[in-house]
Parts: sequence; structure tokens; C-alpha cells
Amino acid sequence: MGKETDRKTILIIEDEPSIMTFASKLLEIMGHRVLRAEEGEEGLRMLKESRVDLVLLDLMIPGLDGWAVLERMKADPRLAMVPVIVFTAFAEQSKVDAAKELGVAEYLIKPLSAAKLRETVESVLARSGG
Amino acid sequence: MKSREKTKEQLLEDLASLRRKLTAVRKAEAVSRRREEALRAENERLTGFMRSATEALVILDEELNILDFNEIALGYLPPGTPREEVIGKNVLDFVPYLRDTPRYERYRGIIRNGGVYQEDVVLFPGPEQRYLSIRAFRAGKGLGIVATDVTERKRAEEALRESEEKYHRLAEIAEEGIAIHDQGVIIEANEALARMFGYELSEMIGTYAARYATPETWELILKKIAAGYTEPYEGRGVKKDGSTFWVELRGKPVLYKGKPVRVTVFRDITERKRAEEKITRLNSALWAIRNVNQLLAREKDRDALIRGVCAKLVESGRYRGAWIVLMDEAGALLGAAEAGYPGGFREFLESFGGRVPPCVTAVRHREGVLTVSHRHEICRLCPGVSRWGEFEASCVRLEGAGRVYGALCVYSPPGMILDEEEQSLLSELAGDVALGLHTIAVEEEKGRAVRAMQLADERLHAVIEAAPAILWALDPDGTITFSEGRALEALGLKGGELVGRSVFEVYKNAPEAMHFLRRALKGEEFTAETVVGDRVWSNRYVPRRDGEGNITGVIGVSVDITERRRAEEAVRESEARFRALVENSADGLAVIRPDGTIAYLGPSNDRILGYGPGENAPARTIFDYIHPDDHPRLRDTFARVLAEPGSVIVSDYRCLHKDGTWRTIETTSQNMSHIPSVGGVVVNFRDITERRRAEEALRQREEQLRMIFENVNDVIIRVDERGVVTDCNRRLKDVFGYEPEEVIGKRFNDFPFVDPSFMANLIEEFSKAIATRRTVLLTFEARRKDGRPIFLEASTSRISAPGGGEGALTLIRDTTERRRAEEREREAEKLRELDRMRTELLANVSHELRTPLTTIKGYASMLADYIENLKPEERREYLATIERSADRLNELVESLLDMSRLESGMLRMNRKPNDIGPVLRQAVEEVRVRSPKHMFVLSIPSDLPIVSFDARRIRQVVDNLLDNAVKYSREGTTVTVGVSRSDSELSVLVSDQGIGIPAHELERVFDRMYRIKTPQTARTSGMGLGLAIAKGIVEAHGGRIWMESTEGRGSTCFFTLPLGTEEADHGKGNGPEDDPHH
Repeated sequence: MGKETDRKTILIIEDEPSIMTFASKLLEIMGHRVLRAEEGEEGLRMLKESRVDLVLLDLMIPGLDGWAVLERMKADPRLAMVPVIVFTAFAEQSKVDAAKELGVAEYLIKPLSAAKLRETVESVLARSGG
Repeated sequence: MKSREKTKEQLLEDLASLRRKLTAVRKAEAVSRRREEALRAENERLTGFMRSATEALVILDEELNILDFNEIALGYLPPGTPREEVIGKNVLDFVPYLRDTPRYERYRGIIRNGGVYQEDVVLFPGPEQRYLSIRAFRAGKGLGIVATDVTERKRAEEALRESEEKYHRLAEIAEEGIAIHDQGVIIEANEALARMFGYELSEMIGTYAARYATPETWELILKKIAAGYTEPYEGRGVKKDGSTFWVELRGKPVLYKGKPVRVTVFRDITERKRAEEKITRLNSALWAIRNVNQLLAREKDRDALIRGVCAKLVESGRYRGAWIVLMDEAGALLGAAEAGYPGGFREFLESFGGRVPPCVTAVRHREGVLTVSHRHEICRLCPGVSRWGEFEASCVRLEGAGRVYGALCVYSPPGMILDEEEQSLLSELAGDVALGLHTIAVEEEKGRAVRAMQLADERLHAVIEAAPAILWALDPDGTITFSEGRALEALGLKGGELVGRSVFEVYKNAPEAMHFLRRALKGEEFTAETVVGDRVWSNRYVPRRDGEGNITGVIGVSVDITERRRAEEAVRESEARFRALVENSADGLAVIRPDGTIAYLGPSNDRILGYGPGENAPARTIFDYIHPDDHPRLRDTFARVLAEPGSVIVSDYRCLHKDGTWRTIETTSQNMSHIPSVGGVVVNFRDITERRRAEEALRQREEQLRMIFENVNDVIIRVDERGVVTDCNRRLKDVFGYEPEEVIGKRFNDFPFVDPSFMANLIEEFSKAIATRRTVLLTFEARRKDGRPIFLEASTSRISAPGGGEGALTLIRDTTERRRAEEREREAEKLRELDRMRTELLANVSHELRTPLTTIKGYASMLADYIENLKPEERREYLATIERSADRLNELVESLLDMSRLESGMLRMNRKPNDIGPVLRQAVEEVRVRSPKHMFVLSIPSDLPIVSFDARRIRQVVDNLLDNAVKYSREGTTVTVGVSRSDSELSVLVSDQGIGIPAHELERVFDRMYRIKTPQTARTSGMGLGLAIAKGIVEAHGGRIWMESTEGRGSTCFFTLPLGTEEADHGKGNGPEDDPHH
């Protein structure tokens, strides 16, 4: 069930396949188009090549890690406006704050349920306008 | 004999007439045969008679022809003369000289007139002479001679006569009285006897001998005569005046004028008796003297000599005591010795305060012996008085070889005054002692003289050796007879080397020298200079002449004056230079006379003090130029300069410049008054005002530097190029605990605070610093003086040493605190690192755990909320994934738990005998499934032993290793598993062809928080605990585990399990762990 006009392009950057499967399945069920990247560089490339409405970023990824991706995105004017939801096992507040500094829209702690994920995605998409 | 002679005569006469008759008969030829026979018989009888006579018988005719003779007569002819040659010859044929003798006439007389002539003749005069008594008588018509050999008789008669004469002579000259007496009556005596007894000789002859002896003596005499005693004996004689005297008698029987009488010899032994007594006395003295002489002969030490003499004198027993005192020519006491005193002699001598006692003085000028006694004035103080009370003493001076050496004194018992002989002996002894002393003195003198001579000789030799001269001598033809002297070295010769060679040959290359030598050999005495062997010589030639003025040679001295010449040259040159300097010098030059007045001022003087030429103020003395306050110093310096000619003295004074300012002028003064061309003190001077200022500035600057030097925080050490510390600041004490004085002057190597093994390195570095121009930085450890270790940092750079040369300046900083801080920092860093690692681990663990959790939660929530959106295969997949994730979670939890167990020591092994083969095979099978893209090789020997191990755990290890191998190597590469065994253990290896591990991390891989961080592996899962757990498991089995790797090629992990009998677990038996997998 998704409306055509609500179809967004969401990039998932996650290296754990099972989580990737789960997240992308959910998003697809939500009616969005999913782009998949297993690592930071790949993700950034995809960001630059396509128009992406939302990024779902696991901070613990090989290569360029999540933080670096965030920084690059923030540094790049074209990418700075793309909302990012980070999800990670890290639970410290300092990290949360840091992420917020880097313009992260939401910070999700693993493990998370499908309901939570959906809720967050919709929230962020709504906030970023359409 | 007469009757016999007569008979003989008769017979001879008969014979002669018979012969005539016979001859007549023969002539006649008509004589009857019977008469002839009878005559012949008669003749034979007579002849026989003649023959048997013991006397020589000769019958001669009236012409003195020999008619017949007997054998005896023949004996007087030369031996071997045959009778036939004698018979018929004239006696004059044998005794030609007979004709000239009166005997001849007498014989002829007897022949004519008859008669007898008897005489004694000597035959064969000389030692073989024989005496003959010849009787010639008329025999018939001729002569008959009977000759009797009376030699023996004659000899005896002569002997007797001689003896008698001798006897007489002796008797006359004898001092002994000789009396010849017969039956007690003196029949002969000599004058001596008469004198002895006080009589006239005539008064004694014919008198009875008993008169002259005492009755006892006469009895003795008679006894002696009766006993036939011929040895001397003593008795008492009686003189005319009735006095008696001792006499020695000796008598024996003799023949006097053919009569047996007695002769007695008398000796007046009065004197002898006295002499005997004296001899006894003198014997002792002589014994003493003999000993003394022996002493004199061998004793060389003065004191021992005089001691010995005194001792010997007393030892002889003759004298009670003796002393000798020696004095010098002034009469002062030189030495003394004594014998026979128990004490007091020393004090006695000392009481004269260094002079000799009066007895010695008394005999000093006296020849002969001075007899004194206890009564004598000069003996009052003598220790003999206290010793013996009464004594006689004889003192005599010790005089010999013209000098009085002292005096000798001997003490005898009272009343025993030495008689002349003894005194004379004593004098002789004294003389001998004096000579002995003299000899000693002479020996000493000689010794001294010899030594002095040796010394002089040595000195002479030294002089000759030292003098740059050659002493030489030539004989008249120029042959060198002597050449000695150090200067020979300059010619490359040794002493004596030239002796025997001709001087013309030696100096053939020096025509000038030869010319001089010839002149000298001709007799000229002169001095001349030559050049030989590139040295300049001053030679003195002295010809020698004998008594007649002939040249016997030349002696000479050649002095090497090369140096002197050079010195003279040098002086000349120096003078010239001086002059040049004076004229051209920029410095001021002045010559000051000893009285301070200026003899000369160089031209520069004016410039220095600002005067133009000729503007010089008419100053007279140096004092006029110099600031009054400096005058005292100037006086002192000037006096010093004058006192030390040749020495250079530098000083400085303030001088007034023309412009009114005081300039500091430095002067260099040298007293050259002894050089004629100078004649005063030469003073160089220059204006050092500026220099002074610069020096002052420099000094201040140095002050500042020194302040810095002292007060800077670092230790500053200045070292010269030899490595000797020249300067050091006080910080040394603070940092090292040593005073700067303890290191200044020492070599760097000797520093006590640097560990010797490190020192070499240090020195190398410092040398590098000095050699290059770079600053060298070193850190090192040292010990303070109190032993505390400190860390230091030194920076060394090359500098110039003050006063030239190179050196190094080292700043040393105590970095101990800093080091400590750094260490603490490092420790803290390590801790922080550990913290970080722990945090990372936690994050890791957290992440690892959360991932399957996320999967589970995610898929479960998907299934819960969106099941209708999922295809059936998706649903199945999700469920399977959930289950897998749960398993994974379990694995992770188990790992964590294992780790926890490992850390708390509760990792229990369940060891049982197992075969490792199947374990490995299974592990490989399963990993092959998990990683199909890798190649797996398993190499298991067939004869592996059964080993006791926990199969599950070891499987865990192998799984882990295989997982790592796969994880860290690319797909398509090979993973190898192998097993081998040794005597003691089983070895398992798992090898991959992956990225490898850097060498420094090979050990760290087994750390529990360790994970290799490379871009490639960051994505791999795992908490990094696997190897740590594997290590724990292997070590719990008693095995070892290690990693080998080549970066880029691959890694191999080995572990071993010890072989051994089946044994129980380490530690406390099986733990309560469960085995959830099986």
C-alpha cells in the first residue's frame, strides 16, 4: 500500500545482509524504492549518482565508516540536505549528540522492530517535506 | 939413629968402593969371578937394603951423576919415569936450578972434603908441598943423600906454632881474662885478666890461682875440674882491692907449648848480670813494643791504633797503665786512649776544656822521656793518683816526620824508674807510634789527594769532554800523538781516533790548516782561526822543545767557536734589525738610561702621544710623561727591569696626550744595557686605550655570559679538543651532585657518573660534534654522586676554545622528571589504550550481539506485522534466519562466557584419549561447506597416536583457526591443515594464504582484545576473542600455540598437544561446565 506520490528513494547503507534484507523489505512494503550499499564509499557514490530522499545509515560499516559518511555528506552542499537516519548498536548519549551535530535526523538503536523503523522513516520523510 | 946412619954411611961407603972396585975389576977384566959374585951379592944386599929403606936414598958420584937410588927416591920424580932413564944422568938434569944454590957448593965441598950437610927443603911449593930433611954425606968418592919426608912433622909443628900464636893473639885481644895454669899456678895470663882483677899482669904470673877466687868459688872450680866440666859456670872473683864480683868461668885442658895444662877463661859478668836483669825488664818492654809494632803495621784507624798501643803496653805486664793523647798542631785535643784505668780518664781530659793536659804540653817540645811521678806538680790531677796513689810515670812525645802528634805516658810502680835503655825503647816506641800516626795521616792525606786528583781528573775530563775543544799533540813530523775532546764529535770523530795518522793526511783538504801546522812544526807559537768541517775553530799552536832547543812536537788546543761566531753574527744581525725596527716601527720606541733619562726616542713616539714632529715637549725622564699616580709603580717596574737584564717586563701607564687626555700606554721593557750599541733599557710602547675599552667591554660581556653560564638551568660543560673539561657551571652540583672542581681538568672519559659501557658511545658522539659543525643531541643515563640514577639529555656543539683551539660546549639537561612524566604518560596512555580497547571491545561485543538480535527482532517484527506482505518462501527464509541468528547469538554468548571462564581460571578441559584425525576432518568438512570458495587441504599421517584431549574444545580451536584462515584470505586461496608428531607432542597447523600478520603483531594476535584492523577486515564479524580462547584451551592442555606469518603471503597458526599417558585434567578435575552442543 503506498501512494505513488509518496514513493521515495531511500538508500540503505548496511553491511549485515540480514538486516539489509529486513530493512529493505520493510521499505519496499512501505512503497519506497530502495538503494542498497554495503559500505560507505559505495553509499556516497550512490548518493551522488541518484537523487536520494533518505539515507538509512549503519554506523558500523567497513571502509569509510558511518561517521565519515555523515561528515562527507554535511560537507557536500548537494548532500547536506538529505536527511539521514542512523542506526547502530552504540547507545551512548555522546554519540547521539554527535550525530545530531552532523545533521542526523534520527538515531535508532539496534535491535529495532519493524514498527519502530517504519515510524521513524515516515516521521523523517514527513519532516523533510513530502 | 946416629948409629944406624953411621952404619948406613959405612955401608954406602963400602958400596961405593966396591963399585969402584967392581968397575976396576971390570976394566981390568981379570977379577976373579968369586969376588965379582960376592961383590954382586953384596951389591944386591945393599941394593935390597936400599930398596927397603923408608927414606929416599940416592948415590951420586963425584960428578953428581946418579949412580943409584931407591924406590922412594924415584917417587920424587915424575910418575912413570923408568929407572934406566935416571941412572947415569946428572942430577942437574932433574934439578937444573941446583947449580945456582949454595947447596950445590956445599955438596961439592962434601965430596971433596967429607962432612955432612943437613938441611930442610920444600918440595913442590904450594898446597901439595912436602918438607924433606936432606942429609948429604960423602959416600966413597961421591955423594950419598938421605932424604926424609918430614912433611907431617913440619905441618904439626906449624900448626902448633899457629895455634900457639893464635892463642896468644886471642888471649891478648880478648876481653875475657884468660889464664893458663898448671896445678893451680898461673903460668900465663892476658892483660884482660889482670885488668879484670885489678892487678898488673906480672903480678899474677906464677901466683896461685886460688887467690883470685872466693873460697866457695875455688871449691866449685876444683869440683868442675875434677868432673871434667867444660861448660861455663858462674862464680865470684876477688879483686886486688878485695871486692868481689861476678864472674863466668870456663876451663878445659889444653896443650900449651907442648905441655898439658888448663886454660880458664874468665868473664866479668857484673854487667851481664845487670844486663840480664835489665833484659828481663826490657823483655817485657820489647814484647810490648813488638806487639805495638805489629799493631802499627796493620792498624789503619787512628783511634784503634792508639787504643791498641795502650792496651798492649799494659798487657805486657810491665806497666800498670798507659795513655796516649793526640793533639793537633795548635795544641788542641784531637783524641785519646788509655788502658789500665778503670775510669776518670775521660773526665780528666774534659777538665781541660778541649786543650791537652799539662803533661802532654810538657813533653811536646822535649826530646826524650820525661819522668814524673805522683809527687810531680803536673801529675796532681792525673787519675793515676786516685787509682794508684803512688806511681812513677814516663811521658814521651809522639814525634815523627817532623810533627808532634801527641804524647804517650806509661805508669810503673813507685821506685821503678825506667832506665836509659827502657826510656830509649819507650822513645823508640813513641817514635814508631808517631810514624804510625803519620802513616795513617799520610794515607788519609794520600787518600784525599788521590780523591782530589781523581776529582780533578774527572773534572778535567769533564771540562775536556764538555768543552767544545780538541786537545791535540803532534810529533815533529806531524804524526798525531794525542787527540781528545768533545769537539771531535763535530768532525765525526772519536777521541784517540786520529792518533798515529799524519796530520797532513787528515787535513789534506784544509790547506789553511796545513799551512798553520807547518808553521807550528817549524817552531812558531801563535793563535789562528781555521775552518774545518764547516766549523770555525780558534787554534793555539805551541811547539815543544827539548833541552837543546830542538822541536819535539807541537801541542795545541782547537776550540770550536762556530757557535760563538754565529752568536756574534746573530748579534750583529740583531743590531741591524733593531735599527731597522726602530726606524720603521709603528710602536713607539725609546731607550732609557739606567738613571731614567731618555737616551733615544723613536719617531713613532710623537704620533702616539699626539705631537707633531718636533713638537715633543722637552721631557727629560720617563716620569715626565707618565701620570703621577702611576709613578710608584713605574719606579718599581723600572727597578725590576734594571735588576733582571734580558728579561722582558710588560706594564702599562697613563700618559698625557697632547690633546689633554690620558691615554693608557702599554710598555714592553727589556734591559739591554749590556749590549754596547744599546746601552740602556729598550721600551716599546703603544696606545692601548681603545684596546682597554674593548677589553673592558669584553670583560663585562664575559661577566654576563658567566652569569648566564652559572644561572642557566642546564649544566654547561666546556671541553677542549683533547676532551679535558675546561669549564663547568654550578648546576653540575644540582644535577650530578659533583662540584665543578671535581671535573674541571679531568678528561671526559674519567667522568665518574657515566656508565663506562655507555661512555664509549658518548665519546663517539662528542667527537662527532667536535669534528662536524653540527649540534649533536644525545640522551643517556647516568648516576649522581649519591648513586641515584638520572636521565639526561645532552646537546653538544663545537666551539672555539678560549685561547685558540677547538673545543665543545655541552648542555646537559636533567630529564629525569620529564622522563618520568613521559613514562607516566605512557603508562597512562597504555591504560587509556586499554580503556579504548575495552571500550572498543564492548562496542564490538555489543555490536556483535546486537546484530543477530536486530535480525531476530527485525524479522520477527516483520513476520508479526507484515506477514501478508511476505511470500511464503520469504516467510520461511525469515524464520530460518531468525533461528540462525539465535544460534549465532548463542555462539557469541558462549564465546563471551568462555572468555570469562578463561579469565577467572575456570576453563575446564574434559580430556579423554582421542584421535585428532577425525576431529580435524570434520572441522574441515564443515568449513568447506561454509566457505565453498576456498580450497582446503588436509594432511593427516596415518600413524597418529591417541592423545588425551578435550575433543569439543580442540574442535573449537580448530574451528576458530579455520574461520580466521578463511576470513583473512581471499577466495580461491588454499587453506591447509596438517598434523605431525614428535617424541613429546602432536603438532597441528592451520595455514592460509591470506594477508599475513605483521611481525610485531604475531604475539599480540592472541590478546583477547586484539583485532587486526585493516580495511578489508573491518567488515568481518567476530569479537576477536577466538584466538585468545584458543590459546587458553591449548595452554590448558599443556600445549603451546603460536602464529607464524609473512605479510602478504599468508599465515600459519600452530598448536601442540603434549603426548602422554591418559591423565586427568589440570587443576581440580572436571568442572561443572555443560556441553550444550553435544
